[in-house]
Amino acid sequence: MSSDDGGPDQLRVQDPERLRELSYAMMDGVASEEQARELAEWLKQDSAARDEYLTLVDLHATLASDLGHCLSDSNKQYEVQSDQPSPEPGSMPTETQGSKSKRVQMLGLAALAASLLIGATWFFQDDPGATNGSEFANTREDTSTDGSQNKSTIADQATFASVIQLSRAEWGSEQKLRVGERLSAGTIALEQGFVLIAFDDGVEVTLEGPAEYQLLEIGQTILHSGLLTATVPPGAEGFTVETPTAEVVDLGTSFGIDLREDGYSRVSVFDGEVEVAAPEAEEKMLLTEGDSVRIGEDQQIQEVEFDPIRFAKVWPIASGITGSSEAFRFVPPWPPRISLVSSDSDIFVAKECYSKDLAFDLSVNVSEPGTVTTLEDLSPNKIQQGRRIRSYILHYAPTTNLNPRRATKLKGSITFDRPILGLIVMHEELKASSRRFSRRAAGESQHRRQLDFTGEKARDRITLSDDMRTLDVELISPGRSSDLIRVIVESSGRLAARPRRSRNQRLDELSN
Amino acid sequence: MSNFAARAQSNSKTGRYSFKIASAIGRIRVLTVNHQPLEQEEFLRLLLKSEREILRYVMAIVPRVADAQEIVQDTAVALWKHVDQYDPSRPFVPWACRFAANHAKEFLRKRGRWYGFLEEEVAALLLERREQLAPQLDQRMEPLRDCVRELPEHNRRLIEKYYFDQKTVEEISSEVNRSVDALYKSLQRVRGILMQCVDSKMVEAGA
Repeated sequence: MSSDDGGPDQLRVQDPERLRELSYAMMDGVASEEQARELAEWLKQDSAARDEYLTLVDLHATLASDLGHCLSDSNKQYEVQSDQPSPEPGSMPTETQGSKSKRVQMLGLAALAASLLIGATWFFQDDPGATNGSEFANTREDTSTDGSQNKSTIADQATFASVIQLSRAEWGSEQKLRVGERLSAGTIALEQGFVLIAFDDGVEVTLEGPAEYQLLEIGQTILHSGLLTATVPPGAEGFTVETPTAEVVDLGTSFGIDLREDGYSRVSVFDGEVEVAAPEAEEKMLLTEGDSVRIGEDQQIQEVEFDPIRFAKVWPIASGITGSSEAFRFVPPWPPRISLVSSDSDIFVAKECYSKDLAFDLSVNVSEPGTVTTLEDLSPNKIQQGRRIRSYILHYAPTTNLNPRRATKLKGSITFDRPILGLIVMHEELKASSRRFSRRAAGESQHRRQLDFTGEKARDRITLSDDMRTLDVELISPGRSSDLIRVIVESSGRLAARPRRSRNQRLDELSN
Repeated sequence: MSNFAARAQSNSKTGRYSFKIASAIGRIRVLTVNHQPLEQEEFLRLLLKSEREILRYVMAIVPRVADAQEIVQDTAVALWKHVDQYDPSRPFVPWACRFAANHAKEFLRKRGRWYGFLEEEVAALLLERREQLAPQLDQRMEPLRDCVRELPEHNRRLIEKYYFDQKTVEEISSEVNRSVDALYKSLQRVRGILMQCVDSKMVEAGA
């Protein structure tokens, strides 16, 4: 077909409307044969149309590839009302076919592979013999009240952080931290193991030993050696970690710093934005999710490959999970959307949100210790507005390759560092809560995600321990559905008035 | 009819692929004891980092999301198989995109009918131009995110449902009680708004 075929004259890019219409039809997969041919012919002949088309498609492609990115902000920006008036559950019978599973797999390949790796390094078992393991239950009580029971707090007014959790921690000096201990300015020398500390403004820092970490004041710290991850909730932006070669300012959310490579500070951003400055070179760079840089002694900021995996060991503890067994696998802070992960043999665990005060009464399905196997066993309740909580998603999404006739049970146990306030396992409540918490949305709008307590032959089974910190689950695998449990965990005790400067003040100081 | 069958087949194939790579990792892990290609972790890192970019690249010629995602998966498997050909001193994305382009073209060929709307020649033209435009297109990503955030609630929800929850227009339609037609119109309108919004932000930024 000759290109000066006069036919599509009226279709030149002077008619951008038409070009858009055709391009959209292709993107949405609804173009007719004629439309497709028209577009192809047009693109072949008109370079301006090609540019316009590529720009249109890339907008579409960016949205499609940008899973979760925008959602992370929409959470705080919009008060979410419950979903549209009753999407009848019965109205979507077509979903039982392969269409859904394809979605779960989408970009899930890398996610799946990554989680396999993490599964391999997951050794964070609840080990009662480990340092301080047995203290968790007792000392946790101290931290979850206002701190007045705590010896050091009474005497020392200058404390501004608490030790939340320890795992196999060994100390470099005679100083040995204990869970619940209040911290003032000073240096933590961790020889090996892990420690999670929380500042009173909600910033949480997890260290992997060997590491040396100095607290100057709230929001101001220095990492002299080792590796840390930090999670910075809304309101505590400006949290700063200095390293021998750089200064890292969190503008909200979460990042990691690794100093184990000689002479370099390596900074990786899991979520949100972080500013990295090389103070002597007066160089600054804004990093966002998925970025990694390296700053050497020469003060050059160098972009490097994003490598969340080097932080894999600290993720469980950084998320407030003290132990797990069997089927549980921990999902790293990246990729952001847990629905991308699927596995036949694992239940994935992801922390959904920062500690926050509930802005509404939250309905839960299970609020008391004991075992649930039938609907009658549920203990519905409301967690009161104002309660400080964190939420986690436990997510079982088998691949489609399982033979539904060969049902087996998938078991696992998971222990949190604080008491569980409630479990959300039924569709209505999952859906109602999902918009509030679900930055890492795992598809709760699908009716089939709820647990099955009505099956005749086999049912899902969950048990909450008496101290409300351990959850045992037994899921029918493959069930009639993939399963989803939202766990709401107590998170109080670290709330203090915030004698903080604003983020802008801090940034000003930083640049001076 | 036969097209449909081919499609279903390739879907289930994709399902198997994800398994294959899982087991491939196990196998390769043993191999790497002796060989010295890219470590699996390193490979995953590169893949994780580049996945979105590869997807965007593929969509230049296969604009339907689900199809493009399938191609990216197949590409990932191919990359893994040929990982020993990769020279770590060179950038990963262009190397990966070569594979992706082949898979995408293969897809168009097989798909035939109208969906193979691009002759090879046009596909090549588009990909070539896409590579040239990449820096400009990349610059539009951040403004786009801002623009999505700035959308009025109902528009933003539609975009979220369609792109992030990956629902079809039909599914959304049954959820929100609006006709499929009306939803398509809204979707196009919101895309138009986003397009304009990004354009104006680019102008503001002095591009």
